[in-house]
Amino acid sequence: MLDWFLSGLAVLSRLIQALCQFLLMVMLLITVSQIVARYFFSIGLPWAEEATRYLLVWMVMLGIGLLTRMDDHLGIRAFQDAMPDRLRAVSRFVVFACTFAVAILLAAYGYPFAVGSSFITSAGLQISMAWAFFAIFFGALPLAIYSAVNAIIELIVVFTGKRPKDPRVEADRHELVQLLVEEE
Amino acid sequence: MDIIGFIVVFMIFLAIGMPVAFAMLSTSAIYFLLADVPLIMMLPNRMFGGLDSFILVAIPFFLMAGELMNRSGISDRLVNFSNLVVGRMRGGLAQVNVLSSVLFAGITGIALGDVVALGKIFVPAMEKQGYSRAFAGAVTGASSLLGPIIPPSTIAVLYAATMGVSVGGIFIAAIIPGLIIAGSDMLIVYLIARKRKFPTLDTPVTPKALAIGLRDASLAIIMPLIIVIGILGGIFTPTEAAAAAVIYSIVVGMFILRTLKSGDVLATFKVSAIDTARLLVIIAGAAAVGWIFAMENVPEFVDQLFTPIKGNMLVLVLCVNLFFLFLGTWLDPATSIILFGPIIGPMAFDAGLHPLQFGIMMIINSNIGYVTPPVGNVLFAISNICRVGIWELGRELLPFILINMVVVILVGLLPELSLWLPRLLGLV
Repeated sequence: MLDWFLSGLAVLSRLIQALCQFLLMVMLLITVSQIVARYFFSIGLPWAEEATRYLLVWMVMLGIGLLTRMDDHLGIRAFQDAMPDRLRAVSRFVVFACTFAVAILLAAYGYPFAVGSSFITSAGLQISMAWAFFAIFFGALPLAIYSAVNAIIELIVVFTGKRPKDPRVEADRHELVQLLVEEE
Repeated sequence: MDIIGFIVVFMIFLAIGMPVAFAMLSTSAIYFLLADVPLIMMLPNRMFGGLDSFILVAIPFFLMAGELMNRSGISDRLVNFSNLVVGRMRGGLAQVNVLSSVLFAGITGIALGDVVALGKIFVPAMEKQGYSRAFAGAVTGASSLLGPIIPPSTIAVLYAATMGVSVGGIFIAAIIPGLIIAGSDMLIVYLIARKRKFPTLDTPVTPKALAIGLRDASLAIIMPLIIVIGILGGIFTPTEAAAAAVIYSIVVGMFILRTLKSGDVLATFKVSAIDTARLLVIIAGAAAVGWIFAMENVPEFVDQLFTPIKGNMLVLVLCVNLFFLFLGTWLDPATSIILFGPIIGPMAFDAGLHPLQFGIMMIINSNIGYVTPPVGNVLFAISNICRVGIWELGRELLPFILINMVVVILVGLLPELSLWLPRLLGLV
């Protein structure tokens, strides 16, 4: 049961990675087409700039959850590293619980934010703004899942003193995080 | 919640190790929830608003271009070229280290990329030649600070996006201060090398080696040229220039050097997408905090706070820089620039600093935090690579840090240092 759940999380992570990769490819493709269209065909692509902007928002919002899974956001770790194990687990629990709360707020208010603007049409692409605004809601979902899982892991550490490790998370880290030194 | 309470909660969150972005978002959420009128729907709104910027689209492309060049093995080649140029000086290998960083800075816009790519090459090589590991690490770390200064620079793009100045302008303004720091780094290396009798390198400079070296170096130098000339010549928008740099690095890696595989390119898309998210989520958080700061009239308060010293440029520059130096030791440069640029900036512009000049000052200054405890990413990275304690490294880094500080003050006091080149090109 637990193993199914963890595999599910890993599949979700793979899916988001592929999606982020794809979004960046499309962004590059659009920007390059914009250059080519202007210089070789003398036509402007009025939708291009807007499209890349919205794709960027989607890419970043989706990436946030992944970074939380790998616990690789930018932050100050010095104090946490200096804490005794249990205290560190407590503070990490607070961190992930707050992250989870933010994710829930973003999902709860990101949904009406998108739906409420669905009647607005974007200037360049002529699509409903909901397509762009939904990035917040859909980014908040994986963030909520991964931060909840991490918060539970920290609780386990607080109560048992042992840190459960998931090799699938380590694999993600290995692939996506530029490791500063080879681990010994 | 008033603004003091806001800052206290934010700092507590940071101190317990909450990621900067979530510390900003959580504190903002608390502020919004406690407000007299319901404001919490501002949270998704401000996050979207913060990310929805065309200039920011340049950032994943710049990150990609640097990563692709790196995967093509350009760093080894730049080292070989630098070797031919400065290897025969006293402390040759240390000088090669600095010059490689200057060239490398033209293809990446971040300091950490430089440390990882060059540190692994230089630290073992320098140790073999009798340099101390601490000195080897210090030179690598200090010269890596050129990455975010010499264009293209991710931080400069963030500053341009936050403060509404032109990307071309800030890139050009950074060139002279960046080269001054590079020159000073080399001078420090020279003086220390003479004192400690470091060896020279006797790499034979054959015409063949020189030809290969020049080719490799020009492959690297063409990239920042495409970007800078492309933007200034009105050929590209900054975002298009960054995309062009990606295409250029793919062509160089796959067809000229033939060291880049299509799998590398695919992996680069993935890694750069995640790296972009890591950096830009901070922008999203800062957009919420910035909105709150504006609501609470923080810029006005800062303006009043600085009024007594506005007339005295020396005192003002010193105070502003001390503030950013302090911030820089705690926050990464992106955060301090995005969060505090819009607060301190208007006051500084009012007192007579040019937005480009202020930007360069901030970029170099907040960079210093990369190599200081308690959170300096670069410091910890080198400490890991060299297996030397951070205090020992810090001692060797000190002269380099001091020279960065001197340049920061000079940029503040002598406008022409940053503005001469942009003025020459008609940008200001």
